[in-house]
Amino acid sequence: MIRYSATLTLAALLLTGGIAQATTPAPAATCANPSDKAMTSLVADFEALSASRDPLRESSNGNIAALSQWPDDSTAALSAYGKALNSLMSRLKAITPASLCPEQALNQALIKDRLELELDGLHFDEARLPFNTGDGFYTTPDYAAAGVILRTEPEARAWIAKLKALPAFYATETENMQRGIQTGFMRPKLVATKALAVMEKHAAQPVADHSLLNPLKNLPDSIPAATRAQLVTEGTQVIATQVRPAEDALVIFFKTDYVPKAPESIAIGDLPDGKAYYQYLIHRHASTDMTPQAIHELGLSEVKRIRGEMDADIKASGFKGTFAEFQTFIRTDPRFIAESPEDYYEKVSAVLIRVQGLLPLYFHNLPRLPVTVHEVDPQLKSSSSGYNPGSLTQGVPGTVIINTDHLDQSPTSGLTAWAMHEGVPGHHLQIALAQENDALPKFRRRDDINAFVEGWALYSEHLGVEMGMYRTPYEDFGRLSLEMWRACRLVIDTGMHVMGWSRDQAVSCLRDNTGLSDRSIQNEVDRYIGWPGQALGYKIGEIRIRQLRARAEAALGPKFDLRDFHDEILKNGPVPLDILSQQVDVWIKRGGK
Amino acid sequence: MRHLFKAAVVGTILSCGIGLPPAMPAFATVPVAASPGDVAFETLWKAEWKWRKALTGDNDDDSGENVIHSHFPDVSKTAQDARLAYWTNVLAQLDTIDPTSLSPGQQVNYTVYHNQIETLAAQQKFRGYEMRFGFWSGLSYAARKPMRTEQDYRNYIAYLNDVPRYFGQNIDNLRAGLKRGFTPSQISLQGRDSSVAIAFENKTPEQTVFYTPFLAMPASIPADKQAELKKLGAEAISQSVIPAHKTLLAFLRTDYIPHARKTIAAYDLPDGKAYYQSLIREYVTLDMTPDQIHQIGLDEVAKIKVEMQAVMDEVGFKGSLQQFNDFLRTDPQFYVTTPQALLDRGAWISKEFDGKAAQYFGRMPRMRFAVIPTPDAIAPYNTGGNGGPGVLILNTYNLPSRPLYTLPALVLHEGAPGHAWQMPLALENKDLPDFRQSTYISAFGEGWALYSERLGVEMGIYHTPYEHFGMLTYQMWRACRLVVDTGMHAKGWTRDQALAFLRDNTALSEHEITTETDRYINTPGQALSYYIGEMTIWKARHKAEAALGDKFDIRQFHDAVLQLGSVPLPVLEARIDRFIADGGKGPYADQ
Repeated sequence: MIRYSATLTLAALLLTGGIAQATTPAPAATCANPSDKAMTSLVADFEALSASRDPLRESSNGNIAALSQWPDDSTAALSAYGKALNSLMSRLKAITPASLCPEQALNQALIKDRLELELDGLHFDEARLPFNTGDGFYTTPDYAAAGVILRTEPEARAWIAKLKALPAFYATETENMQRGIQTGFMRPKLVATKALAVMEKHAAQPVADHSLLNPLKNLPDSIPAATRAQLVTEGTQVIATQVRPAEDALVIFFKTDYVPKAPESIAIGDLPDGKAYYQYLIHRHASTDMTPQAIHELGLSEVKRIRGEMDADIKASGFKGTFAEFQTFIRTDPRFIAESPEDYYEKVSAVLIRVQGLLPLYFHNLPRLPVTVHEVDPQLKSSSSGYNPGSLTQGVPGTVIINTDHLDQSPTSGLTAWAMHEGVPGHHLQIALAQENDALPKFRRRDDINAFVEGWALYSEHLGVEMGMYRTPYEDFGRLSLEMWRACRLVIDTGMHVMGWSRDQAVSCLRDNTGLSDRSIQNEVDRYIGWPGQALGYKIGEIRIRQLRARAEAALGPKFDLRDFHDEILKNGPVPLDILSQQVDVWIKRGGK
Repeated sequence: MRHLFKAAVVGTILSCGIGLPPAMPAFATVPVAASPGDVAFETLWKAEWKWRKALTGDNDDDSGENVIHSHFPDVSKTAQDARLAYWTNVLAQLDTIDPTSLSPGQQVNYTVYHNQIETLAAQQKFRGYEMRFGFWSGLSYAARKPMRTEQDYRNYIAYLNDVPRYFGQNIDNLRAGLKRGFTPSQISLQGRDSSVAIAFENKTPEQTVFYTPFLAMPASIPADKQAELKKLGAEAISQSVIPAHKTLLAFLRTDYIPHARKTIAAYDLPDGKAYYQSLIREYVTLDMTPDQIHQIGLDEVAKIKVEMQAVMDEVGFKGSLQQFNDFLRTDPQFYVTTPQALLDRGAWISKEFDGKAAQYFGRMPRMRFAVIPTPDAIAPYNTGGNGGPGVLILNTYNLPSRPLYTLPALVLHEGAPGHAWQMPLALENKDLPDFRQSTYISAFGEGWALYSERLGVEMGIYHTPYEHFGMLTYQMWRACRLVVDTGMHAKGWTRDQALAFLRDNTALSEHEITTETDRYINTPGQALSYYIGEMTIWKARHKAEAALGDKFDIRQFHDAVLQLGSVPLPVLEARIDRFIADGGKGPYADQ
């Protein structure tokens, strides 16, 4: 999973990775008729609107004014945003798709999809739910601090101004949640309680050690020592007099108001208009209009198929015993437990390095940005491990994030597949390639289409089979266990949110079918509860990419080159699955070159 | 520790009367229209380059592409004479072009190219191929290349069947060298025949390293085809590869090694003094005398000793440097017990570097590397590691001689940002002419790799005083090379003197001290390139830092150095002067 600066608007879901060029490159020479020009200006206006909604990303692009700001989710700002979206939509609909060159037609389709998602999100007033499980507006400051490098004194001053603006940011989000309380549109009690625990942790930090001071403590030597000391002093004062009271107020609001009033039900479908909202979330996260029931059925059939493959691995390993006994064995046997955090880093690094050596056999285009391995920041321990996008311009690598707090609960049998998912050829390869693709408009270089991004990462795990990455039946079982986990998500997410499943049902579904540790299972289920629909994108996206590959192999026969296919999938940046299918069909017609 | 593609070659050049290099060209800031001289130059090098590429077919090919060759190059006397004639002719034509008539960008290319052709012609003229001891090790690397298609496998099988012809030609060449006393020193050859024996003795064809590609074949090749290819592969090994190795082994044991020369000094070869000077020119790319280099070595050894003492003080070690080195050589905390553990640690260090790379480099290579062990057949005599496009090779043979405290420095040198970073960057730089993308100049490549080790200090790669000391001992080792190489080849030092000097000053294991010293005996001058190259890069950096002040950006500086590809040191110095004149702007507009 990828970690974003975590408010739930479109703008914030756009990746924070840096962009190599400030201007949208002129489209190819053939894209020059009046419609194409109208699209070019529409793309620019769409990007400007997105930028105005996401100061965190803007600041990572070197915009100092944005560096001092937080996202503005006030009702006034959201209403203005809605008007701007509608205006863009009218302009977009006035352009006949057939009059556009292929590149601009693709831009039009992508922006239309995004505008619809945004307008629908405003329609549901989802600003009332500014957090999910583990992440939300209250971890946004942590991500901002972890992701920023301050190089100059003006940048440091902008950061101090940002600290001063934190109380207003929290106040706006609190108003939105109060509207949620009034309308009964809230996260479940379980999710709210977890959020409260993190908020309390924030408020308990000694002022002088506050994590939001870290960017100021790491100022470069090019700023005189006296100035650096002064900036830290000023920042510390702002934390003491403004940030800390805001953190305390938030804790009190959650303790006395939000948590007591939060619903016991874990189903998003039980909220007012909740079933329609869930169908919307399916469209956004899984890029499909399948009904929850159809997704549930698909999940059950995948579970059955994968179970067959798992049984084959157990047989191949020579293990004597039941499926459940093998699960216990692979979760607990010392040979699958890392000896130390260092041992774990080494093993993850070794997988990434092995893949790196093989990549040129499977891809023509590779990114320049490196990927590294790093322990999760202490402030963010409550959210899961994953991938943090980097930035060439900011000098920040892509990072596979590891949490070594519970090594006994992190069996290494699944580590190979996991590292391929988060690192290469999964998230890092796909995201860094898009970031570095100067030929794409900016919004496509940093876009996140969950079903595409997570589908690609899950496809990457499977690609490891033909790459020879799984050297033992245990490692392959580890991969299948992860695949099973994603198939279970189809069953569980739909089950809990609209089909009346209990949390315990969800837990046993994972326990019966996957090799996941107990700790992971608990965290997972809570994540699905607090982030409805998101977990569907993985399997839905992966199935589509595998279908497209099978279609291309059949159509192209000996002309099929896997490297060209992979380049084709990744070259446009993330796109919704139906648009991806259209693109691949065109590619097949062109002869797969 | 040489980069991968030179590892198998014992380079030799005899003395020669090469003309002075052309005056250093200016560097263009804007593209300038091609002049008539440009056209003549381009026509010349393009034809030669095409011809040169057609010659290769062996795995000393630096292309970095995963081409599976179907044959070895022709290395017969006839072919060698043809090469000499060809390059001599190219050199003559090159000299008819007035460098000042070229556009500024082409002047740099001309300088680099002239140096390349001079070196190639000199190698032919003095019949370096007659001393190519170790020519067989390229075969172990070929067996490690990933293969993708049926055609790849068919090529590889044809390649295996070409081994007898290739070995036979090489043996003829060695025999010619033997006849005129042109051989490596006998002492450095003791036991080296085992690298031939280990490849096949007590092994079925399927157990040899040559069979590796058939062990795991791509699923895209149908099962019946796989079976056929496996059969053909095993046949090629039993009928071609193994017999050729047997013939070679017999030749080495009965003829070559017993009759190899007893002396160690380059000066002891006919015309040895001029010969050694020409090797200095090839490897250092500067005109320095052995005495000058020897003195620089002694001065640097003294300076690094002071840095080492500081580390010993920091950890509170009471005792001499030698005692400290003994402690490092023997304490179990500095050693792993399994090959995989060493490889995994190497991978982790590489990933730590990746975490910081973007703060030190604007332009980074697309091709990254795998970490793999040195092939068994050559591991006992190979150095601690090698690196090149796509691979960082760590020697996991004799693990008690592979300390962890030097591993970070080794990984930076052979992996990133050393060889496995610098070389792909050059390969991927399609703005450079072909002959600058894949060629290699030791002083630049090894100088850069050694610079990379010390760069690790400011990058925070060395986490303990011991790891920092490991970096220092590697610096010391390369500084000692200046003393030892010139000592043995020009100043009458014995092998024992060289061994003792390394033992007294470095923390190298006894195993490494021996293999290293024998390597210096075998490749006079090569070991000088590292430290002189590094000193040149640091000198250029300090000059740029002083001149540019706040405007100095380390990323732009590194981009400017690596954008060159691989060039003689004077070209590098001129480039940094231009960098300073341009106000510290790097070569890439978007960085």
